Order: sequence, then C-alpha cells, then structure tokens
Amino acid sequence: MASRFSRRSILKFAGASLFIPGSLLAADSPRLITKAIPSSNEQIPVIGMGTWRTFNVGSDLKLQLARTEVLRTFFKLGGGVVDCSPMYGSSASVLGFALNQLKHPDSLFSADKVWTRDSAATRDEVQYQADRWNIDRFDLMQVHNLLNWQDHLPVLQEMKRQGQLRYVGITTSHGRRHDELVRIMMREQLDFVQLTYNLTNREAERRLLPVAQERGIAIIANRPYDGGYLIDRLKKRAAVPEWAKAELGCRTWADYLLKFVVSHPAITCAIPATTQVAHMQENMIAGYDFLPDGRQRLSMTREIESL
Amino acid sequence: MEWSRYSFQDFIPFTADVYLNLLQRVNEAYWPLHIVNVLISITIVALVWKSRFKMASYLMIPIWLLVAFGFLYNFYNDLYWPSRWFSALFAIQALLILSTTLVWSNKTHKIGFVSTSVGLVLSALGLTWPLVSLIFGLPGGSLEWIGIHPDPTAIFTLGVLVFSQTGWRLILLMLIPSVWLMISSMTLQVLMLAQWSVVLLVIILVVLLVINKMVSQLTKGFSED
Repeated sequence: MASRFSRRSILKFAGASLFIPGSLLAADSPRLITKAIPSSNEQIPVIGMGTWRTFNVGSDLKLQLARTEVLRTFFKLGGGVVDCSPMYGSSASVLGFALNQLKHPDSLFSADKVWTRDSAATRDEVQYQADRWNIDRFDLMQVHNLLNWQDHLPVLQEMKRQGQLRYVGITTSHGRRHDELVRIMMREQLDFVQLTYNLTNREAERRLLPVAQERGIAIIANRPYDGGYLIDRLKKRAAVPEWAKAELGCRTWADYLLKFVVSHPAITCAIPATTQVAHMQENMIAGYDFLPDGRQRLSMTREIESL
Repeated sequence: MEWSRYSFQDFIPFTADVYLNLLQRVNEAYWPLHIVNVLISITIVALVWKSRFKMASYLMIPIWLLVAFGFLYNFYNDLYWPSRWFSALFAIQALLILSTTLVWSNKTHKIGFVSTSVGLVLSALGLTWPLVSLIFGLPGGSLEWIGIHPDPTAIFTLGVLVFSQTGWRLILLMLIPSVWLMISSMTLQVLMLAQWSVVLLVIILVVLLVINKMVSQLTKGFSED
C-alpha cells in the first residue's frame, strides 16, 4: 500500500534542484514506500531514523532546537520509525523535547530498548524511557544487543499482552552474535529484529534474513551507512553511477545505499541517523518511488566492489 | 561475557562537536573560576618547591572536587552514562589526597633530578593545557582548564605527584589520574580530537618514570618520609 505526498510538499521540504531526482519531479504524485510488519500487516515507511550519537546533545537548547528541525523534516517527508536506547545518553530526552515542539506527530512509530543487566528493571526502564520521550507507550520495545534477553523478553511479551506495548523485538549490531540471534528467532515470538545490514555488511543475508522471512519477523536495518564511514568514503571516491540515476532515480549515495538496504524483501525499514536537515532530506527521498529489483541489486553490489 | 563483544567506540555516544560544545558551556558556566584555579595551582607548585607538601596537598582537594561535581556530574553526565562513576572516582581521589595527607609525617624526602624535571614539565603542561588545546585546533571557547576540566587537572596532579611523592603514596595517588587519562585518550581518539596523543604520552612517561623509581628504590631501599 502506498501513501501519497504531493509534489509540492516534497519540493517544499527537500529543495527542488538539489535533492529531487528527475523521475520524482516528473511523477504526478511521488509514492512513499511502505512495508508491512508481518505480525500485524501494519504498514510503516521504509526509511526511519536512528538516534545513536546524533541526538545526544545534552541540555544545550541551541542543539536541541537544531535536532528538532531534523525531526521536523523527517516527519514532513513521511517518516515514521524513530529508534533510541538508554545507551544513547540524552537522546531520549532530546527526542522528548523535539516531539513536544512538533506536537507529537501521528505518524511517529516509537521504538526504544531495554539495556540493563538488572532482570527486575525491565518495566522501570521502559517507563523511564517513555517519560523521557513524553509518550504514554512505545510502539516497539526491544532488548538491546541481546543483553539479558532471557529475562527481559518474557516481561516485554507480558507488557504487550497487557497493552502496554504494541510490538516486541531484539537488537544486535556490527554483525555480532548472529548465531545466537538465529536461535532466539527460531524459539521466541518476536515482532521485530534489528540488525546491521548495508552494502558492505551483508552477513545477515546468509541466515538471519531468511529466518526472519520464514518466521514472519520484521527487520530494522541499523548502520545502513556503516556509521557514516561507507557514505563518506563513497562521496570522496566516485559519483553515483549514471545507470543508478537513470534506472532508480538515485541522485545521491544516500539514495543508492538506502534503496539497496530496503529493497531486500526481508527488510522492513532502515534507520539512518543524521544531525543535519539536508542529510535527512537525502535520506527520506530514498524512501520514495523506486526500489531496485534483483538484477539491479546485483549491479549495485558489483559497482561498490569495483570501487 | 557480553561486555567483551563491544569495542570502545560503542561506548562513546556523542560526536566531537557536541563534546566541544559541552566544554564551551562548562567554561561559560564557571568563568572566571578558571583564573582562581590557575593561581591555586601555581601556589601548589611553589609550595611543593619549598617542600611544604601538606599544604600543597590540601590545596589539591578542592580542584578535584570541583571537577568531580562541577564538570563530570553536572555536565558530562548529561551526555555520557558512566560519567557519574567518573565523578565518584574524582571524589575518591580528593578523599585519598586528604587521607594520605592527614597521616603524612611531613618529613622531607629526596626527589631525584629526573623526577623533579618531569614533574615540573607535567605540572606546567597541565597549567598551560589551554594553549595545547589551541595548538590542536580547539575553538577558543572550548579550551580545557585546570580545576574545571579533568584532563589538565589529572596531568597537573601527576606532575605534582612525581616531583613530591615517593613510595606507596605516589602509587596510590597516581592511580586514578592515570586511569582517567587512559579513558580520556581513548575517548579523544574515537572523537578524532588530536590531543589524544599528548594525553597518551603523559601516561606512558609517568608509568615509565614510576617503574624506574620503583626499581631504583627496590635496589637501594625506600627513602623514609
């Protein structure tokens, strides 16, 4: 199912000549790409937002307001999933500040994590984070980096049954503990798994993504730019290939990298993080109109390997 | 263990610009206390030079407490979840200085030429750390000052310890500043702030010096206080 944003709104918030691919400009109505959460069939936009490092600005009002503008751009361009964690310093509080400024957009899909070794602290940590976000309940609560998942997951499942959460998940990153994660995915009832997946880190394709499809688990891809390293390197070395511009409407490397990630059938959403409005615009544009097919994905990987 | 699967980078949840911004806000919050701290620190060096070690030690306590609560707890804690533990460490250092000074017999003890020279250089480095920060390209508002920020405070303290202490007191009192500087050096490296190299050099220099002192003392016997 596609959600329609007017060309005018896209042009207004993304800047016409710099960030909009010709194909998007030509379209009558750019199509925001969404994918279904397998456990509920709820549609969410394929480009979300991470907050690792980017939203941890402490109590500096100027920086909080700057991050508010980034979040405003995110929502104006159709964003939904926003991901955070207690590990991310003041990010949750800054999100709460920004959401208050933006009057809590309806399209927010709030995702946070439990990150404590204290087995008895699951509910407290969820509530603590919710208070910082200034929200009543989370859409998704995840066990961060598998930390004490044996104790936290049952509590989160119970909270879901009680209506205090909508979805339950678990996360890893940097390709860590994939074998253990597969075992958890086969055994536990999970709505979401978050893992690292990008053009140069595709280990998850081997087992995790197929298992997710088999078990009906939504996948959130973190580090789509490999923490910024991948996109910075590409920007310095080469321009976006002409064929990618022509066939996929990829004007920027953000387009290229994100479209690759979210075009995998098992991936529900990617969560790039940024501190800049311009980069947020680039990120969100990638979630419109065209996704590469299998042949194009192969070409994309070969292109990167050749660089 | 789960923690072994993380790299140090995973524990730095902020970017360099936010960190520099924090340093600036701290400077704005506490100015002109910086000048008072510099004067106190110069006084400490002068007192140690005149072998008035107890008075010098007592003057060290407030600058460690100010960093513990003024910077680490009040400001850094906002960005960095372990900062409350760092604050506790700095408070413990203040307590260690106090307790070791109270039991000190105040006899003078002999400090060699090398230790005195290294100690003076490190003390001067801690005092002039704002200049070092400037050389490494930090903006003027984000310079780090003794008694306000932990790095120059730790470096200065190590310098003073090296040219005023020996034996168990030296080892005990240099532990926390050294541990802090190691953490700081790694943090600065993750943030790609170039002064991490100087911080690391300080630690290496001090450790080598202390090992040398310990070996000398083992072969010659400790100097009594």
